[in-house]
Amino acid sequence: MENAGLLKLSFMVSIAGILILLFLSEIMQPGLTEISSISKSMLEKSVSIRGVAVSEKNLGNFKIIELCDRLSMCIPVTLSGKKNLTDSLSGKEFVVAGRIAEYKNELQIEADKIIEVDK
Amino acid sequence: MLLEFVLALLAGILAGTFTGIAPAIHINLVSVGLIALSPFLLNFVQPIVLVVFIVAMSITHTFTDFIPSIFLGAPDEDTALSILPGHKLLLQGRGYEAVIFTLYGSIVAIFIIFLLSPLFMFFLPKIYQYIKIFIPFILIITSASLILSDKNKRVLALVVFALSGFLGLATLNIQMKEPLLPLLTGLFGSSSLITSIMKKTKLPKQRITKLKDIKIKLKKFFRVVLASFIASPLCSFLPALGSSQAAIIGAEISGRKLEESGFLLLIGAVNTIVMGLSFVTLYAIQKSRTGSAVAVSKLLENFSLAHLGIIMLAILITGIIAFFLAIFLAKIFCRTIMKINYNKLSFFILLFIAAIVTAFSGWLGFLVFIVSTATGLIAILLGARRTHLMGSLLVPSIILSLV
Repeated sequence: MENAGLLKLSFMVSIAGILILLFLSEIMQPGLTEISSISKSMLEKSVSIRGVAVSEKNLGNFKIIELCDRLSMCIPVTLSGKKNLTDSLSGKEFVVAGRIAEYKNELQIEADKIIEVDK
Repeated sequence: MLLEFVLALLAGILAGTFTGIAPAIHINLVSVGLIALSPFLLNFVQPIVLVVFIVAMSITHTFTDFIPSIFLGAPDEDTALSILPGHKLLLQGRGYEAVIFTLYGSIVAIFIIFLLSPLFMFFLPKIYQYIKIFIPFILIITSASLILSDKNKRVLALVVFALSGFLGLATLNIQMKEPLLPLLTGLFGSSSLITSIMKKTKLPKQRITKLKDIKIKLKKFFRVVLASFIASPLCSFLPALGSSQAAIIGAEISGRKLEESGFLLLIGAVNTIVMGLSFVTLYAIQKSRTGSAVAVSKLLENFSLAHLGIIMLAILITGIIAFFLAIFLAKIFCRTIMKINYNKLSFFILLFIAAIVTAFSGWLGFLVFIVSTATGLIAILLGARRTHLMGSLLVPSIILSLV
């Protein structure tokens, strides 16, 4: 009887918890960060930035775009995923969520999500 | 330079011993700290010296991290699957043997790393792009095989796999530090501890069997070695795959059901191979697949063959030292655990793990920990195989590789 009660409780907690976590994973995005404020002290931190892709370079299994904000501050963003590699992104505005990384002494964003901003 | 190499090696072995036997402390935490201190440290030593420290720490960790997993029921993400077979042997008074089986696997792994490294260096740059295409299919086949192999409880297996799959998807999609810590600790660690506390488990007298009496059948040994030879390299260089997935794939490849000894041997081997080959992968295709390899990539701007040679030497020496060190530590754990009330110890470990999870992953991590513990309990109470909880990593890996 004790096990039956624990099993019921475990099912309730598990299912309710998973639903809550799925909901949180959708609504919890980091607030927008200004590109100018990104520095080496923020390495590995998750950020969201907004800007226009001014250039793009396909490098086989990933792509690098240069994302510039309204203050003309720019930062390289690395992307993977079939859709990103095949579609042309230049000239379009995006919100990018990802982690700040460093490559050859230069800061860049390793994108987890990229969403086009509708004009 | 030689003195610096030796000191870095010994310091790394010490650090790896600490991270291995301390529950929930991961080598990545030390690596991140080291990278943060590197601008200061590089005033005194060459980058390769710090690399030797990281390599020695990482390899030692793979030898020692099964000790708390088996004796205390406190695994980390790479040892989660050892909980069930390890605990089974512990309850038979054979906890020490369980650790030794993992060490056999780890020491064999050192030689497998040396055998595979030339193949990696020569073939990997040529075939990597093509093998990547097959990842989702390997994972889907492995997942289906896992569920279908549970002949009498396929529906239960699917329920547990699906629940843990959704949990994994949600957890890895949330902005959280160290998401695998609460996820796998809850699924495999705290759920086992809770059932152990509820059963008021009393440990039988633990035997310290002589090494020459801890045997494994030669046929089983070769089957396991072959399975780890095939599965581990895939998981050393392919994204979305780690030690746990390698262990599952290896268990499926080995064909017949592995007993506790075989599975522990497999997971010991896989754990060390994946870590060791991650450095070779970094050299061959400039991809980092473990936190330690990421740290090495940041320290070595130009990763040369000479650097790889030093790393391989460090792996060999560390592996031999760590093997005997882990045997010594296992004996201490074995003797000490008999003097402690296991129920109270389990309760204390549970509280400690909960505190560590909250400290490293925040309140979100604690929420994941509660949910994953409940999910792990479902598997235990329904009598489903705990390997189905690896849906928590397999499902997100499949989706990530398909996108």
